[in-house]
Amino acid sequence: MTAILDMTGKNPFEVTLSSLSLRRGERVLFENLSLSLKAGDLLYVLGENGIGKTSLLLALSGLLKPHDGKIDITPNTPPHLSSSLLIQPDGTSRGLSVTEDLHFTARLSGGETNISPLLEKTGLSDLAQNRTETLSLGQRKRHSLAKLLLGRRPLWLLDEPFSALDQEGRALFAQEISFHLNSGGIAVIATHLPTEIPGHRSKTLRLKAAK
Amino acid sequence: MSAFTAILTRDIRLAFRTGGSWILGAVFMILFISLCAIALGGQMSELRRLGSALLWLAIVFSMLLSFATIFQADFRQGTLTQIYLSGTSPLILVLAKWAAFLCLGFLPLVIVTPVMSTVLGLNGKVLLATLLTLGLAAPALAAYVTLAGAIFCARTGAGFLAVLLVTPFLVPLLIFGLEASQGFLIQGWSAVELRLLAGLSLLSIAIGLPASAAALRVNLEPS
Repeated sequence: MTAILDMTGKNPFEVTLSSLSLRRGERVLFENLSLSLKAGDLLYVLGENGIGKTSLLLALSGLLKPHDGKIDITPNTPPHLSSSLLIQPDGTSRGLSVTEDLHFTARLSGGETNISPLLEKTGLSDLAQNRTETLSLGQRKRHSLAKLLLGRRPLWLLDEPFSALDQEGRALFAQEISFHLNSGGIAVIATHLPTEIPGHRSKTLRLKAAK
Repeated sequence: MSAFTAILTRDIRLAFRTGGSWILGAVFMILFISLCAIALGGQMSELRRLGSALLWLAIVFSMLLSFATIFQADFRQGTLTQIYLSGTSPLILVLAKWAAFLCLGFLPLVIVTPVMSTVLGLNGKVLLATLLTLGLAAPALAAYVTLAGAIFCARTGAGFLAVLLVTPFLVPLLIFGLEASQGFLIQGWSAVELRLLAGLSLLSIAIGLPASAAALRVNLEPS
């Protein structure tokens, strides 16, 4: 039931937005947004605070229903099964250790995975037994990255992924995004400071206030 | 299935780690029964007559009081959203939460009940009748408390509304539960009231859990 990244390239993954309009309550965020993303695409969503960057990510994840227009995903899967969402609050369980939280995440989507390579890759090995609420903001981001890698979903929706990370952490995140794009995934990143992902051209969407 | 056990075991583990809010229900029950005994003048004849009903009330209230522990923390820290995005159906999530609530919100009360029944001077048969009927009704009570938790997970301080919403559902369970308790004392296992209570309980689960799943799905949509 989980949409796992298709590496063979037989069924390239695509996301198409057709005249999408989003509202939060009565407030119109934006209208008539049409956009097409293909496997390997990287999209930066820019714009002022409160303009609707996070809402766009929520809509792409299937949590926020579009007021008008639609989001199509090829091959046809429900949005919430094709995407991973990195957002605040990040869904980490207070009271569990880093290892336990990762195991929990793995078991939710139906499999025990060996997570020690993942801990090593994200630089969390020394913190494996620490409670999640004792992590610093940057360590939390690394923890979120580990969960992102566990999910193996083709569409990554990242809200300010680089904030709070140290230089090494930013490089690690950029590298994993690059791997993800190379293997046919799509990344949509809402940010104020676009970071260069080596070897990838990015599209930029600048949201403007409706009217 | 793996998602169900993952959520259930996580909730039980967290409950034992974080402060022990699961004991609160049992403490509330002990205080409630003790205060009732004092308020009724400590007369054993009165207490014995009312004992079964008092135990029932104590358990209903203490389960109702812990409705906020079911979903609120997970809603606030974004875990419910991530569980939904993981592809776990809201119904499985609700089932796991309901089962965890039965373990954490009801089992401690079952353990306390025999002790409290000695305070009330109940004999073994009355205690058995009370435990049996509570056992039959508990899944339904838990289903309605889960429903209240699912509807109000996005609002803090909604206790008053939750009590208002759930109480009408609890009244039939209370009535049939106490009837079944009486019926068991007179007719034993063949009492028809026991079967009525079991039927009502199943019906409540069939209504309460899907309704909780729908309420959660609505609450997960950002407003």
